[in-house]
Formats: sequence, structure tokens, C-alpha cells
Amino acid sequence: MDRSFLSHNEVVSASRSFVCIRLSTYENEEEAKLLKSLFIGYSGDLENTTFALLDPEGKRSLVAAGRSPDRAFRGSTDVPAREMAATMREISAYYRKQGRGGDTELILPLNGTPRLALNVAACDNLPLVALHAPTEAERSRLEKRLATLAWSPELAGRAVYTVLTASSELKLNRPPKEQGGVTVVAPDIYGQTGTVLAEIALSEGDAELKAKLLAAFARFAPTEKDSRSHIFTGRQKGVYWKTLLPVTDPGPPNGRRPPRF
Amino acid sequence: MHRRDMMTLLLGSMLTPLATSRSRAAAPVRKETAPAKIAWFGTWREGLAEAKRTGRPILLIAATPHCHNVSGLW
Repeated sequence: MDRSFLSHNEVVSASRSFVCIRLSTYENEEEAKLLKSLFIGYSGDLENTTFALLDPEGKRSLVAAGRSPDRAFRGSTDVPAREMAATMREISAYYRKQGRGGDTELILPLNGTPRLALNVAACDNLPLVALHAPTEAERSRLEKRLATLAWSPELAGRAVYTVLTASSELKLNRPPKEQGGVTVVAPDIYGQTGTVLAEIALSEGDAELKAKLLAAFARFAPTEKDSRSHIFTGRQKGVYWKTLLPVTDPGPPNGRRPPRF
Repeated sequence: MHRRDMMTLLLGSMLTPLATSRSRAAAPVRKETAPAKIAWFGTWREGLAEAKRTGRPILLIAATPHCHNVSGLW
């Protein structure tokens, strides 16, 4: 996935006034149906990537949906990303004037199953934050506490979050020691196993929780990846990601430019 | 050419492929300050609930967290 749009600082800044949803294609039936309703490419079926800007009800596309922002904001230079950011600012200003567009708080941005979340963290080159608690009530309280921190300026976009109900859901170098709390994990480059970077107990206060998360994030070392050698070496090692749904992307026909994000 | 110069040239030519192959391998990158990134909801249900609650528009992306079935790369 080319990051030239999504990593542009103006797009990142504009995204703070949006609810940003990133789905993993072929991992959820309900989501697959939604994506097909938004965009169907030449194949006539769900393709690997989709991009859309939608109204707050999730029903109306506000720009041309496609495989990437490139369709709506054509070009291959810095300028299309700025155009995208400007469009996003206009859209958010419109909804703010409608008396809507309040602060995004209180919902922790979870990423599906722990297995998928670990893979997503590896793809993003970010640490994984896994929360776990002995009871549902404690888990819910911890989730609300983390949600406030996850959206704070210091922590927003710096981790991938998931809920662990059993330590066997993640392959780690060691199981979490604490009965309940937060485990910060560094994924391996294939997102198949993880190394525990920090453990924060349920009993820690919010200030300590934040400080320890920041310290753990500072210890995390992102790894630069070269896609060709990543795929080559991964295949040699027998790394294989099985999707929940069949992959229906036809692949690029001759001469077709791959999607740019 | 001086013998020392020849040795230097020979050693340099032997080391260069090694350095290139090393640089191809994944290298850890430590960053003092992480650049700001988009904060994503990972599921449609939660993200849509948040959009409806806050009245905020939605930026929606979907991608595969694997490349040719090798995970760890979008």
C-alpha cells in the first residue's frame, strides 16, 4: 500500500476531524458486503483495496470512491495529497456547521481479533497494545481508560489495539505475567509472533499508565521493510497468511498502475 | 600501482557486495520522535457507531494486511 496520501502531514492533520476506519479486506463478511457496495472494479468483485469519504451515517460517498484516493485526487506528486487534505477540511467544516462533529473520545480503536491486530501492527510498523482483565466489568473499565489515552495528542496513531481473552490468542516470547492490565508487544516483521515490551498492571493509575505506554512506545524500534525481500524471505520461511474470505482481486492487468494511497 | 593501493582496491571490491546484501536486509530504525499518523478504527461497526455519535464524516480505507499471502506488509 503506497503511503503517499495517508502519510502526508496535511492529510493526517485533516483526519483528526474525521472518524478514520481502516478495514482488512477479506477478513469479515459484513465488511466485505459494505466494501462491494461502495466500489466494484473491473473484476466485478471485491478488490484488495478500497477508498471512500462518507457522510457520518456511512451511507453516502462524498467523493468518487475507488481503489485509492488517486481516483478522486489524481496525480503522482505531493499536490494530490494536499488536494485531498483540503477536501477533507471542507467536508469536516460543513458537518461542523451542521452542529455536529464533536470530539472523538471514549471508544478504543480496536482491530479485530488479536491474530489480525498483531499482523496489522506489523504492517503499520507499530507496537500492539493488548488489554486483558479477569472480568468483563474490569475489561470495560480498562477499555474506557485506554480510550481516553489512545486519542490524546501524544498517543494518537502510535499503536494498534486489541483485547485478549486468553494468552494463547497471541504467540509471544512469554505469556503476560499480570492477571489483568495492558501488555505492549513488538510484532515480528511478519506479524506472526511478538515480544513483550512492557506490562502495566490494572492497578496502575491513569498517569502511570500513560507514562508507561509512552516509555514502551519509545523502546519500540520500527523496522524498514523492502517489499520484494520481505515477500521472498517470507516465502522461504513458509510464512503464509490465510484470509477468512477468498481473495477475489484479479491483480493488475498489463500496464495498469497499482493503487496509490 | 602501489601494492597497498591494489590491496585496498581488491578488499574494497570484495566488501561492496556484502555491504549491499546487508543493506537489503531489514534494518531496525530508531526514531527519537515518531511522525504523527492517522489513528484508525479497525472495524466498521465501531467506527460507524463513533461517526454517528459524533456527527463526524468518515475516511474509509480497506487493504489486505499481506502481500502475496506473506503477512506483515500492506
